[in-house]
Formats: sequence, structure tokens, C-alpha cells
Amino acid sequence: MTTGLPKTDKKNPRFHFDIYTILEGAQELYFGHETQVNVNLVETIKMYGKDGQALEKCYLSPTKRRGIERRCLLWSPVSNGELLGDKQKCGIPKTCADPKCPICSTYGALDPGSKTLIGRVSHGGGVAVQDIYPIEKQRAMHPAMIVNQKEETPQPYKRQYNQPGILYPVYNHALSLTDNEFAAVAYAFLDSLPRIGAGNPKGIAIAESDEVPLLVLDRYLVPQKKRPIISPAIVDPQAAIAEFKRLGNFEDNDGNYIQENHFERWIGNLALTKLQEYSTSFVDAVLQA
Amino acid sequence: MYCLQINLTPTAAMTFRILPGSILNIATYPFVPPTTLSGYLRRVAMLSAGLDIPETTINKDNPPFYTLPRNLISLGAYPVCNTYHGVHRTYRKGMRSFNHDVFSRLYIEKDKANFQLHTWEYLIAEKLIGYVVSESKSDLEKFQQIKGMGCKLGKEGFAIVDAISPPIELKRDTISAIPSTIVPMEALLQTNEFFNGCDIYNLYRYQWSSNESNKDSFSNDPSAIDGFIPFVGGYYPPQSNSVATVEYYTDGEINIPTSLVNLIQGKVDV
Ligand SMILES: [Zn+2]
Repeated sequence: MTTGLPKTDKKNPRFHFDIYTILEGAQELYFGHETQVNVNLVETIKMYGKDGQALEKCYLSPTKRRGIERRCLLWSPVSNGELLGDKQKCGIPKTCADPKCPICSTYGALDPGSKTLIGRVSHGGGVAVQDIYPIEKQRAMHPAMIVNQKEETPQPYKRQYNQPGILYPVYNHALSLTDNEFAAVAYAFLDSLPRIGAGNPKGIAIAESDEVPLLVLDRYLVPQKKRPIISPAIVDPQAAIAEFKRLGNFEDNDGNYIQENHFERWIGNLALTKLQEYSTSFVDAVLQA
Repeated sequence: MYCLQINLTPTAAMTFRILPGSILNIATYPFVPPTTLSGYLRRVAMLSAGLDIPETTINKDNPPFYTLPRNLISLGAYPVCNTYHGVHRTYRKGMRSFNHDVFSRLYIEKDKANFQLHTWEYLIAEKLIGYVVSESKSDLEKFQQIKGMGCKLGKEGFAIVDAISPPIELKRDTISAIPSTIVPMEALLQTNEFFNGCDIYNLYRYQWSSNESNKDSFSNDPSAIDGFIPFVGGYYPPQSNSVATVEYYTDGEINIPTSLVNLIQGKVDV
């Protein structure tokens, strides 16, 4: 046995899945490190661009998205009133590492000294399109102080925010999953969007172009079409959107659905509907079972 | 000697952990090391053959290796000049121990004792070019079918195989050129090459078992590898434009130090 994966039957074959989307911060967002109480900086990246010029951009790191998605699954409510993580005895960092756990089997787990489940979901993207530097705002009292009533004097502080309107192309890649396993990924992806960002305000949305969500879902054994991946070197939002739509076949297809040999692609509204279907099947099969 | 030039598009920030290293400060190589590229290409080959991704549950004492066969020599993948790339350093919450579930609790009384801050480095790159050389043109040709497939790359990261060249014939020549890959320190020392513009890294190559049998990258068979052997290499960053005068396999554009090919094959002991 090479994979260590439990056997599946003919009715439950494994596929590869990719979610491609462009997210848009509808309001100011704070993606800084939660534990750095006095360092209220957002995460930015500074890279060499064309001609060796440095280019600094805001960043929604894949690691953070992965953590939020995992928590969405841990905190999803099960029909008996428990949360899924409690029912499964699965947490962070103490994961249950049960190959049947819908969280560990997809997002991976480590039981030190005994076993490792390699995650089959990878998170990517997150480099902002626009090179808009975060804005700094004066705040009266740090949120950490509000809960800690023993601190008497409010501490004024400054915090940076990513400006609204910034676009973040992001990708979730899932390898060798059954449809049932991918349902957990779809649930986590959709459920995490309103929870992205530390503190308040919170939440990010799938960006739209002409009222169509910039979202593509692929399910395949053999990759066929070009992948809608936006180069982190692009700074023009219109160029990024046009490139996403071109590579994602938004215009050149019949009914926002493409089927080729061992390959399916859902585009725009249809991609959202398909993800919602998967998400609903996770609720029915796992949470409400 | 024949060479495949493999264009990779990373879709995520990548960590190729430098070992030995600090537990609290995770550093990354600013390129894909040869062994990492080998493991990645093998997985992509298996996925393209319709096999499941290997090594999902690993046995800690005796993990199987999945690499390219010994006659296909992976030389690593590197960011390209004039494209977006760099190393990003950030902070992450790490765990002191794995026997608690503090990070998933909705209500936390006291958690200060359970985490520590790590620094963590990521390579972010718009494009990478990887190189695999072999005396076997036909074994290299089989890799055309991996185009378009993607897989995890490194401890963290994911990349898509964007394009793959037909086997390119390279000739031996001693010239002054910008190396396409890392250069073994030994080769630089032997030619009294001054280490101008190159950064020095500790790297690893495979220790092959003598009874290597698996020649098929597109199969389920693990590779016959006993472990890793360290070596020291010089890396010329894309923006450095520095040249090294050593013997290369070259076609005028691709410059692969012959010393690196020999070293990774295990033909010389350094
Ligand atoms: Zn679990």
C-alpha cells in the first residue's frame, strides 16, 4: 500500500479539485498577527518585481486561510448540539488523526510519534493585486483590553488596515479526494469567507464582475483547460479581472460549464451553486447525520 | 547529455526548509533544492498516471521515498530574473506541545504557556525553472505527459507544471557563464573561482541503495534510497548576474555544472 488511504469503491472514486477565486475586501481588514498585541501591523510582502524594482503589497496568507477553514469545520454544529471538533475529539494542535475524520482526512493531522496524515488540501495565492499600502488608524482602546476589565486606563494605539477594494486572488487545491471528502472543503471555504480578518470589521467576499462571481471550480483526473492563476506581478485590478475571466473561460463556453475528457469546469454563478451543493451535502451527510 | 527545462508556476508561498536549522526560526532556501524537485516531479508523474497521491499516512520509522529514478538527475528549480520573486519572513504561532487543543477552543482562560512565536520564511515566486538531465533521451520524453498537473511543492507550497521542453542536447564545455543551477562548492574551489555574487548553502543529495530497481516514475513503487548526504553549494541569485568559470553541460543558454550532475549521481564523493 503506497498511499495509506482507505480503499474507496467504484461509487466513490477520487478526483482532484481546484477552487480559483478573486476575493475583495469590502471594508478595512486587519490581517495582522493575533498574538502581537502591541504590533498592529498588517502582513505585507516586499518582492523584487520587473527590472529588480521592489514592490510591496498586502497579503492574505494561505496559512491564515487554512487555519480559519479548519476552525470552521471544528466549530461546525452537529445535530446533537455538539460541535464537530468536540464530537470527533479533534482540535488544534491536538488533532484526532483518524483517517475517517472529515477534518483530518482532508486538512491533515499529526499525532507525534505515532502517525501523520498528509493534508490533501493546499492553499495558495493571497498576494494583493493593487500595490496599495495599508492605512494607519488611531484607535481608542485595544480590543484585548476590553475583555480584560482589570486594566483601568484605555491604551490608545494605532493599527494598520488593508484598504477596502483590494483584490486577492486565492486558490484551494485538493488532490485525490472523493466527492464526500471534497464536500468538507467546499463547506469550509464558503463558511470561512465571513470570518477572515482578525478583530472587527471582519469578512471578505468573492469579487464580482458584471454581477458574476469571479469563481471557478475544476474537478478532474486529467487537467485540461488553462488555470485562472493571476501573476503576483500584476498591479492593475482591471487587468487581473480580465486575465482571470480569460483563463477561466468566462466568455468562451456553453452555459458556464465545460466537460472534456476526465475534466469538468464550473464557471461564475454555476461554480458558486456547485460549491453550495457540495457544502449542503456536507451538512446533510456529516453535520445532520 | 539531455536536459528537460520545466517551467513551474507556483500558486502558493513555499517553504523549503533549511536543515539543520533552528526550531523557532524556520528558514527557506530561495530556490527549490534538487531532492525536493525530484520528489515533486515523481508525485506529479504518479498523479498524471492516475495514481493517488502517495505517502498520505506515513510510518515514522520507515517512510517510503518517492523520487525520480537514479538515471533522471534532478538539479533543482530556480526563480527567473525579471519576474516577481523574493523571500518573505513572517511570524507564526507555534505549539510548545501537541497534547492540548487550545488553538481550537472558543473560550480560553489562560493560553500563554502553550504557544511560542516562530519566524517563518516563504519563497514567493511568479515562475520557477527546473532542470532534469539524463543520458536517456527516451526516459526524459515520457515526461511530456505531466504538463498541466499540479502538486504540493516543499514543506508548504503548490506549483503547476506549466510547460516542459523536449529533451535538449547539451555539450561539455568550460566557459564563463551564469550558472542555471547551484554550483558545488568543490568545483568553485578547484578552479580558484572567487565566490563573487554567490550565496553558500548546505544542501542534501540522496544516498542510493545499491539495489536500485525502480526505473518507472509513473508507478507505485517506492524509490531505493537509504537517506541523505550533505554537500555545500553556491547559489547565484537571479539579480546577481555573476558568472562562474567551470565545466558545464551547455547549449549556450542553459549552463549546468558537470560537477553538480556527477555529485548528485553519486559518482564522486565530496
Ligand atoms: Zn480529526
